[in-house]
Amino acid sequence: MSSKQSVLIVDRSDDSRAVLRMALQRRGLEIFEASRYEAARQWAQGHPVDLVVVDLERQGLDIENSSESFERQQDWGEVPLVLLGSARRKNGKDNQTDAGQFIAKPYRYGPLIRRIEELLETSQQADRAA
Amino acid sequence: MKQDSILSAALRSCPTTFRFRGDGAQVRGNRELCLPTAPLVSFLTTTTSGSGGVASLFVIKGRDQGHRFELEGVSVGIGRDASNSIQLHDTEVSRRHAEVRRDDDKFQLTDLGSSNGTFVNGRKLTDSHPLASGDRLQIGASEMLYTGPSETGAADLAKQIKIISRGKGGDGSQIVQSMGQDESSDLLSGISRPGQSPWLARARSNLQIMYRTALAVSHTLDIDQLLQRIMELIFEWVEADRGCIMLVHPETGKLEPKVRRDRKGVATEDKITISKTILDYVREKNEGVLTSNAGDDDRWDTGASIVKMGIREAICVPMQGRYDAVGVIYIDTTTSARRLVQQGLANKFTSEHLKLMVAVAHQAALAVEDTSYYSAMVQAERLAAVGQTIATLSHHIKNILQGIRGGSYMIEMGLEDHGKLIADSGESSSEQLAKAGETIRRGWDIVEKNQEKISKLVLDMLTFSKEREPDLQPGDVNQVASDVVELMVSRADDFDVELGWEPGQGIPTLTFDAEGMHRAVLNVVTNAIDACDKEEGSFVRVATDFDAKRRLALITVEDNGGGIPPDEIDKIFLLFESRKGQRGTGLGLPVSQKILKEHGGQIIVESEVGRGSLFTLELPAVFPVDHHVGEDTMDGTQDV
Repeated sequence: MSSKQSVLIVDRSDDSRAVLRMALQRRGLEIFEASRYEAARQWAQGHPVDLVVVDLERQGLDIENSSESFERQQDWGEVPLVLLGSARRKNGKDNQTDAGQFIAKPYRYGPLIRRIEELLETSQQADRAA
Repeated sequence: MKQDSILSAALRSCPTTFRFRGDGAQVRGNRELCLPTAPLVSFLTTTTSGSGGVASLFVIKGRDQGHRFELEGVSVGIGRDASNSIQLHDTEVSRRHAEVRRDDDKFQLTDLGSSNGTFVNGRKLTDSHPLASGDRLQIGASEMLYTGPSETGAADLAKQIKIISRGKGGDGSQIVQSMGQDESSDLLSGISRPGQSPWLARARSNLQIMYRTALAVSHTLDIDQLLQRIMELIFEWVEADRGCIMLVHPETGKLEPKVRRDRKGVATEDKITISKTILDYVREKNEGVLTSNAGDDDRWDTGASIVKMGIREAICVPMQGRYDAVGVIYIDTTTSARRLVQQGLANKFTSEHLKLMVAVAHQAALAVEDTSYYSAMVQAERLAAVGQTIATLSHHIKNILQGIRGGSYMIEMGLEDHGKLIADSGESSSEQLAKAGETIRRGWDIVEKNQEKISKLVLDMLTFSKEREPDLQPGDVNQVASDVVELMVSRADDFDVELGWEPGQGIPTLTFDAEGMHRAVLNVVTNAIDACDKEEGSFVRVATDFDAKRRLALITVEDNGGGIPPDEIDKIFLLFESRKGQRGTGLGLPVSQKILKEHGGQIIVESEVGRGSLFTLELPAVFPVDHHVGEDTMDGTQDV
């Protein structure tokens, strides 16, 4: 089993995936990519990953309220989820969904990558504690 | 003085009054067809009622202007708090202000003990109020218009009314007399006939006046123009020297002069002096008055201003609308001392004039209200449209910005690597340098791609927004289509779509705007490529042809993508109605359609879900001036 932590990027845009992949690979992470959400979800059932980044907007899954983000989180169980999407949200909350992390577009890559690293760090610590 | 009952009855049955009593269900349809003489209810129905004829509230004033709320569910709360189904962002609205309760198809409005109260048509609610279409609700500083649910759907009506061909079970009716619009107004002509009673002649004359007033007020949506017409009509019927119309300012409640008219050839004072006493009486009592300073009306004895006005007869009537008095109409006439000596004291204005003026003013007021509400609705719709436009454009610009940020970040990573390699020059390999260069190159490609996107967006916006004259020059349709295909090859490759190009033979040189047509074809081809959603075997075929019979150059773009459902085909040319989700701006096809229309052409769409779509751009053939067209050319057998 690889000691590298792994991240699954789900985004319809090749360019966006390429930027994130390159940035995360430089930090020693193993990257998997998918362009479609359903295909990614099915693939992940046989391939556990440490974190999932989903561009909701490009999947047509953008969340309007927290219950939808909760449903998205249900799809991935305990795996930390970073959701990228439009800022138009009815519940007025900005960054934190009930379960995953919601980051509104247009985001900057620096803070996004730092956030991903923090989440991976937290989950690694939790694993060690367990 | 009360309104004459006969005239009131006439008013109730006149077309303008009918406007607010119509059943909205019968007038749903193309909004443009209702303008500019659109009845308000039909306007409300076409613009504010949902597709299923759901009751709704449309905000025409206040911070939420332009929002339409459908009244769904048994209880709909209205208030400032987010827990209300209708949340109004208005500080004068209570947190839980009012409630609309549904009982079958009836809707009752109740105030929930709000601080500032709930008003319907200017009256404060003390109890539950059954809402009727056209009701104006005031909640805090916000105003809303209520539109009830349609009672009979168009489909039901189609069953109730049948149009049959002659001889197919009809009742054999034949036309025995017909009458045009002009003749119908002649029937009301006030010209007296021999043996006709004076009462009947007067009644006919009055009806004629009301008929013409109704016509006059129903042909304009410009309040100033409307008032001008009313004044002209009044001067035709009444021997007034001067007249003016004043409207109540919606904010201050004060009367503001809008129209003034003087009889030609009559020397009048520059300033129309109107007694405040009279104005106050008219407004407070909501009654029209006929005054004469030579008269004996004891109501004016205490009004000092009457004395100052000289020998003058005046009529001042309220413009009573559906909800409020919207203004007053004032006319006066002065009889000089010399004429008085010559003719004796004979009144020019009679109670008959007053009755007519009251009726005309009521008509005018209804029209002013219509026009005001129409303007408010148009303004609200315009604001909503502007809001939607800004939101949609911001969204696209945001996505492009995101792309540029991604590209820039990649360049930054490449430069960082490059910098490190240069600093440690001793150890850096050419392979690592090349890798850093490749990262920068890739980042730059992303930035460029997004620059293209924003440039396309801006060009589409400009093409759509501007009324532009196409730059008509002789050109080659095949060249335009071929340029587009060449430009789109790389995009088609990116999406694994096979892009085919079949240039038509014998297409003559035509006059058209090559740049515009390039844009039109480009947008359609881009859409076709984007529509291809198959994993493999996707294709887009671009072809040209010339239909000599119909004198049309045809550019066809065919794809084997997902196709468009029949109920969505009409929408694809609507602004911002993208079917491509986040990838589309919803500008492409409307722009293409606009360009074709500028050339007198059109875009025809045939589509089948699951099989694909065929877009045909029909460009009418306009031959260059020095081009001689022979029969052979038109048959497409000879290349020119």
